[in-house]
Order: sequence, then structure tokens, then C-alpha cells
Amino acid sequence: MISTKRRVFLKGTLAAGTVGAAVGAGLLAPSKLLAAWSADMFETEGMSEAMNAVAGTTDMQQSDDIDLSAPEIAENGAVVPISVEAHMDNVEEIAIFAEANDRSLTGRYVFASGAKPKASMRIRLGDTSDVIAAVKADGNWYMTSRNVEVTVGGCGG
Amino acid sequence: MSIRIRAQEQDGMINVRALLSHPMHTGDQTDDAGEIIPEHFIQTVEAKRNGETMVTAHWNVTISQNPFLELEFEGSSGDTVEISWEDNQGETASESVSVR
Repeated sequence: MISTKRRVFLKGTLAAGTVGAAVGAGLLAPSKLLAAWSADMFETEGMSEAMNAVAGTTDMQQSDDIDLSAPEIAENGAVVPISVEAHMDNVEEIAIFAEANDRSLTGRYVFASGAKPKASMRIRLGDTSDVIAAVKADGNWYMTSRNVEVTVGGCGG
Repeated sequence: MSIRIRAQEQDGMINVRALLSHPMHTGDQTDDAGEIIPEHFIQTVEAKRNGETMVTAHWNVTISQNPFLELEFEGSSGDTVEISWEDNQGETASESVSVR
């Protein structure tokens, strides 16, 4: 608990103090303030490794409160429409994984309060694959998955 | 590298659909001469309402070419919705629309 509070405190201080002052002084371009993209998460190869990098665990509870829509059969693996919506409270983040892709983490969506925890996107699947939606709510990770059969893979060419 | 945004309010929620023009090269593709095209992909997308970040997305090379994005957040007609992105080669783009 103590460390959590400390982290929140530091975050608040930094946001209000150092970073704010740096922006005011024109020291930082706005784009540099975007939350960092993590090579540790996105360049990791393999499903369980990627999941560990994002969530710190592969042990996620299956949840019926996550709607994951994906086609059963994708004729073109280069463009596979995926939609996710989480129906639980206090959702901080949704992560999409494609088990058959070398780089299994496809995308991460971080939600501020006031944002509905849902996202739609189009993804590439190199082969027939389980697609997994992982949701972080109240600090815990939950997941659901769908299998997508791919007729023509979509990463090379 | 354009961004097309449609933002519509209904019952206090803004539905945002955006089409981002970007090649999203995976690093596995080859050009006409048979040379490997290096990875070139959007890594970070931010959706803001009146300057406040509502959703941050981080993407891999496995998001399709010319990415499509649909999000929803609280807001009103007349609010400004801004979508901006940054790719792995340091290129950026940004576009704003007024919510209908």
C-alpha cells in the first residue's frame, strides 16, 4: 500500500511540477509527452512472453464481461476487423494479443475516466490464430479469446 | 499522411471513427526490386477531447495498413476531438474536428 501511494504521489508531483514547467518553458515537444511505447512489450516474441511483459502474468481469469468480436473465418489475414468492449467497472487498459503472430501483442488501449472501455481496429494475422482480449480492471487482469481461421496470411507479400 | 475523423455525439457519448493514412510496413514486405522494406508503423495514437487525453493506443506492426480506429468517450456536441499519432521513424500527424 505504501509504495502504491508513493507512486501516485510522485506521478502527481511530476505531472504538476517538472513536466508542466518544462512544457511551459517550451522545453518539451507535446509528442514527447505521449505515454511511452514499450519495445519490451511490442518486440517480445511469443504469446506468454508478451503477456508477461504487459501484465506481469499469464494467469488471467476468463471473463464473460468482455465482448470480443472477430470473424470466424478471415479470407484476408492482412485486414481482420476486431472489436472489444469490457463491461466491468474501473477498466484501465485493454490489450489485444494474436497467438500465432511472432510479435503477439497487437495493441494496447489505455482509458482515462470518461472513456468507454471499448476499441475497434483492423489487425494482421499471419496464420490461423487465437485472438485474445485482456482487460485490466481494478488492478486485475481478465481475458477472453476467439479463434480466427485465416485463409491467406497477412504479414508479408 | 492524412487523418480523417468523424465524431458524433449521442446521449452524452461521443463516437469517434478515424482513418489514419499510413503504410504500416511490417518489415517482412519487399519492394519491386526485392529489397526488404524496413519497419514503418504507427506506435502511439492519442485521442483528446478539448485538449484532454481520453484514450492512448500503442500499436505493433501487426495493425493493418491505413489503420482504422473506433472509440467512445463522454462529451457534447461542439467539443473538439483531436487525433494524433507518432510512428517509429519519428513522423507525426494530428487532426481536429468539432463534434456534431
